Amino acid sequence: MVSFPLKELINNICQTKDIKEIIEQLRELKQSFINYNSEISNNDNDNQVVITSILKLLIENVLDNWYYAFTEFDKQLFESFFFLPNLLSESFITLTTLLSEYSYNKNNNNNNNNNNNNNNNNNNNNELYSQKLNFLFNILYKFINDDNNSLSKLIIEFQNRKFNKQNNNSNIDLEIHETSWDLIIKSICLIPDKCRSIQHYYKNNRVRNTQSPISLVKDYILEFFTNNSLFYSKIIQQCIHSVNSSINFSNNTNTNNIHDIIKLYSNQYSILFSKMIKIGEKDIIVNIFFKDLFQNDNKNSSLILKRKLSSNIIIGIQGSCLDTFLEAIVKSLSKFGYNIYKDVFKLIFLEIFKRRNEISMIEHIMINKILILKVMDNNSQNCYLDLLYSILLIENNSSDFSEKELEEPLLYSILNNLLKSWKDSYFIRHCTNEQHSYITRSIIFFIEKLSKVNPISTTTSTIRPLSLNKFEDIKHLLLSGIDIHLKFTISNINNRGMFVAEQFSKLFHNNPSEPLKFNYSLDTLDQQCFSLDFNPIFQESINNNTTTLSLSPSNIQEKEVKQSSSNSKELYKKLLEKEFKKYDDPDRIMDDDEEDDDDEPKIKEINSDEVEDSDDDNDDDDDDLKPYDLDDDESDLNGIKKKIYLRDCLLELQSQKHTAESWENALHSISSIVWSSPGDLDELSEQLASSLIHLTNEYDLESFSSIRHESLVALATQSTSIVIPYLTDAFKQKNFSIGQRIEILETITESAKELSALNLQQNEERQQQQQQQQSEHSNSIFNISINNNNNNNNSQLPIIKQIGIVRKWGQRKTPRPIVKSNRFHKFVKIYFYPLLSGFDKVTQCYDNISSIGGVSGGGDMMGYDSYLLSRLIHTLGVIVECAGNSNDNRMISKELVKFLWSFKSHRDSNVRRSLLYSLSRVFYRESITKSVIDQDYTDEIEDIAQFLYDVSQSDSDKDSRVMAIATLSKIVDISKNN
Amino acid sequence: MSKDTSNKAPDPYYILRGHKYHINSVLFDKINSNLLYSGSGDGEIKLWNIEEKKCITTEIAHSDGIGGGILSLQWLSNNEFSQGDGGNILSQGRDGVIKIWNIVDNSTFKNTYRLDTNSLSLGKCSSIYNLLSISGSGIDPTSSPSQVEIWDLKNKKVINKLKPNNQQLFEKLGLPMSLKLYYHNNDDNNNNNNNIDSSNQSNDQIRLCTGYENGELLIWDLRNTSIPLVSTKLHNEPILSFALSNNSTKGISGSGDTNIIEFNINYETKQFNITKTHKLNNGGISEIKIRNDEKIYATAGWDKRIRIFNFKKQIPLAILKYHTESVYSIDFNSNNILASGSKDCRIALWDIYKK
Repeated sequence: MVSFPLKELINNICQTKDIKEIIEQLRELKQSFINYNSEISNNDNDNQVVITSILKLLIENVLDNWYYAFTEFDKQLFESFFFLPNLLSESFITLTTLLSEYSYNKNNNNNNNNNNNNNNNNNNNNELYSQKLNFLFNILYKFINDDNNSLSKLIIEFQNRKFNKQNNNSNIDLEIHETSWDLIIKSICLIPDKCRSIQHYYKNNRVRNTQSPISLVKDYILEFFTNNSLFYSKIIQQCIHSVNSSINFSNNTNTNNIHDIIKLYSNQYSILFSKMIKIGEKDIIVNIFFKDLFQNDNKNSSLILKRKLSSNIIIGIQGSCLDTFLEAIVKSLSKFGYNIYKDVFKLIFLEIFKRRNEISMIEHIMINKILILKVMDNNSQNCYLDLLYSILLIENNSSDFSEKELEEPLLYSILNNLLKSWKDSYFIRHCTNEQHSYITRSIIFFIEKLSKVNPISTTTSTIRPLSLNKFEDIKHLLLSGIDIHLKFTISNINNRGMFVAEQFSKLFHNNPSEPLKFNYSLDTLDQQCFSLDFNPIFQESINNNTTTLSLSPSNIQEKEVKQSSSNSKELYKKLLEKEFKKYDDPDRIMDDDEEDDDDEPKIKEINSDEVEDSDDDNDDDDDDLKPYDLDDDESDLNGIKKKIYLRDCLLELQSQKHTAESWENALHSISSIVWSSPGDLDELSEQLASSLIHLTNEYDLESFSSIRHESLVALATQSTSIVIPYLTDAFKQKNFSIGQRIEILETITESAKELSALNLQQNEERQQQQQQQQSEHSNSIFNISINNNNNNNNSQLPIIKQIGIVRKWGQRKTPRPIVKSNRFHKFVKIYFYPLLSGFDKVTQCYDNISSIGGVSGGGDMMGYDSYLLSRLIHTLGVIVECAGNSNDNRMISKELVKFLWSFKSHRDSNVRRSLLYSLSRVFYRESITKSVIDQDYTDEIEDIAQFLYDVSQSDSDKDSRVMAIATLSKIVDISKNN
Repeated sequence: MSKDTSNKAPDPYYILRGHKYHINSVLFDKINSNLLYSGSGDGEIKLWNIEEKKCITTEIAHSDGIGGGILSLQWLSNNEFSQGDGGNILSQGRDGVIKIWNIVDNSTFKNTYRLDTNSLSLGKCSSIYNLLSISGSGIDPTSSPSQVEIWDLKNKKVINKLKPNNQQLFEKLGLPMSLKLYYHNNDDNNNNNNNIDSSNQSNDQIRLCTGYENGELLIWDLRNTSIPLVSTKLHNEPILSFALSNNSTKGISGSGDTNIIEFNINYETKQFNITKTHKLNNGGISEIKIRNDEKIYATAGWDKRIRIFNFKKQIPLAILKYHTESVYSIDFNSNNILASGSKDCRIALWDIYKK
């Protein structure tokens, strides 16, 4: 594509070593550039790429090698390459990409790699870099901040290309889809960031004895690029300039084209502004663009165009930015003068809302988010309400009713939204005082406007009336909101409800002679934000001399508002300070204002004291002893009362309303209640067990798991026939965690022991031991006294007897005789078989085994699953042990051995260990005899013996070896004896 | 501002921290009202200056451990054991050891005396002049547990044992839980501690009031060790504490049950006449102190609260809440500062109704 001379020229430039030749060639190049450009200006993207690369080459070769040798004139020549008409966007992109690719790391690397030998080289490099940087900055500065308005030219250029394209190909619409505009915007927004990071880098990583590369750049240029507000306001000004110039231009020539131009502009700027808002520069757009765009322009036609442009821009702004942008506009409404508000923003928004069908997003933000969820100060809110009201007015005036408008008038949706939040008790309870006041004010404003609607005459000065059912709807919402507010216990909310109720009766009631009247006051501190003045006050700029006079009263008013707000703030601050001073140093000297507060009572006290001193014997002398508040809920003492009923505990655990104390209390109480076996135990036991199993340690109770375990064991023991089936079933369910399953197994184990009195046996032994120890102990203590007391029979009596009934403590309970009974035999079946039946679902051991078809041991049974399995085997062993002499024991033992046999070569030592334990339980039974073995285990006994022998010889686990030997010897014993 | 906030009972104006164990006893110096003694369950005795709000000195007075620690501190008003100007306090260990400490230069404890009484009791002892009343020895088989021993501190001997000869009554009494020796003055003169020394120092006028485990309150004349002057069963639980007015016509008693009882002492009918019963929700009053001007009295409760009552009108005035554990001991100083020592190892200082 590139014509031959151009190519050649560039090659020459890159290769020549003579400066004069270079300059000659540059001139030629420029000329050919211009020619070339005019030839192909209306062509495709490839050109841009070519031109960009040529410019880049120029910078890299000519600038690096020759620029410092150029004369001033030559320099200008070189620079002019970047300001060639119709190539502005290319050069701009080239410059910014070079800047963004500028890496200070290069420098750094050089430093690291080159030693002192190469120091010169290094320095050269530095210089070169700083020169390049300087050049880039200068050119960019000229580009953006120059009277040439290159940027605005660039924007227009871009448009022209677009139009050219459209002219060539009528299919292309005017929407911007290409990446080139995106690229330009990105470049614009990237500059200040990059500059700052370069600046920051050289500030922090200063190389000693070398000038920082940035030092060559002039200070004001640097300042311009690193200061966001300077930079972006210039950008915005360029934008405005471009708009102005093209409007002026089109005014002179053809008017048809102007709408397309405006459309393109708004498209361009929407994208630009979206990006800027994302960066956080929304205020600059609001303050400068909209304000200055309309400044100094009195031509009606151009104003209309500009309004259209602005509204298009706002509509076009991307979703996420729209939110913050609109909020920024609304919040700053009051900061502009009234004129600007009236002439600019109001009209822009009216323009926007004329297209209500397309702007659902804006509508949503304006009447939902900003009106309800945000909080502004009263004045900003007033301005905003005024704006909304004027939008409502225009709705009435607009002749074309769109479908949506008929379906859902704006006023209706506004009030509907407001009232729905207002009557939501959750909202009321959780919103701040300011927010509540904010919404209430909006409601009052709009119902006032609504009441003024005259349904008969549709004059322009009122809002369009609502249809009857919509009106009733609103009324209904309002009344239910008032109802909720009046029932509310928080006084400021209550008071506002009263106020709204009064307004309602005043505005909508047919009989205005007797309006509703409540007794309340809005003068309290927390109602200060609830101002009933809805007149918007606009800040006037000082330059506007004509308007200051007329608006001066409002100014004063505003000052007062400011003062009062600052006063209240200070008051609040003082209150806070006072509050916090209490906790300070107690020796501190009292503050003046604090003393003021206390003065009066003090005087009184002193007076009364004096009176009292004068007549001391008077009975009324301690009148000064005024009682303090004697209310004492003793809440810190009552928490320990134990629950009495299981149902209470259950409710406590299930409900969400409990406190930490009551919850803990309930948990603690369960086991003791269950042990006393109340009447409703069987009714509640399953529910209780279920909620206990699912209970989480909500309050981080230290002994949570042990308490829960205790309660579960108690339940399983006392209500066995209900709880055990539940637990064994739960064990198989998929929705239980491993922890819960282990808890279930432990509960089963423990309750089996409890029922079979196995625990009791152990406890008894322990008790006996203790008693022995105690008697020894007491002997040693009372040795002396016994010796001494030999003479005195009377005092040999224990102290308890002497005092008799008096003392409550010290009397040791005589140990009750313990009857050992094995209640477990009844329950053996419901314990054993359910556990055996479905365990594979949760331990997953058969998944693989069955598919492999052998008993090769589950390779997948490592980790928790095999741990769970080992616990299960252990539990089964315990059940067999606890079954004792029951009828089912023989059967379940047989089942167990069969079951165990499948795991004999399990890899997990835990499983092996519990397997051996369970085997030992089988063969250590009291009832086992040779005949039993012969009958039940004829097929297996050889294998079992062999297995036990193998384990005892070769197992890595010592406990397993010991257990295997013990069991083996027991088997041998049994076989020998009978 | 609003009334309800100003009417809330005040918080303590200062907290003294430093004890590492339950504070069983707090006691103000009767001479220098800024000095406060405190004894704790680990046997430590501390001297505080409440003006400077700091601990001046600490002494391990009694052995710690089980059965150790300080049970009570008593102010010794006579000069019998003093050396120098400072006051003397008597400390009673849980093991029955009595020690007397001389406070030198308001800054150090000096142990000047030791007596082993073998009394293993829960009751705080009481001393006056050179007499000490303490519940009977738990080990000595010759003494019954309901018996109160009167020791002569000087000679380290038991000079009297008080037990009613009414066997029926005697068997029911149980351990003496609280004791108070006092001068009985018929003239109803203002009988404060300082003029004890100057008054007629004979045993004749010394009386002992004792609260027993079964809730019985007795007043003894030391001359008659077998028949109490006054006796009434006031409480259903052990009488843990009581206080008598200076002219010993009125008093208040607190016990393990939920009542605080105010009574008049009627010597003719030999009865305590209950004039007012304050019912609490949670029982246990470990100490009662009447302020020197007898306008108010304060009770230390196991329910973590200190209660202030109007002594004349017999109405409750305030409930002071600060402690997080049972309050074991309270004391007023001559400036009407109230100190409270608690199981939570802290001493709170209150200036309620201080004027």
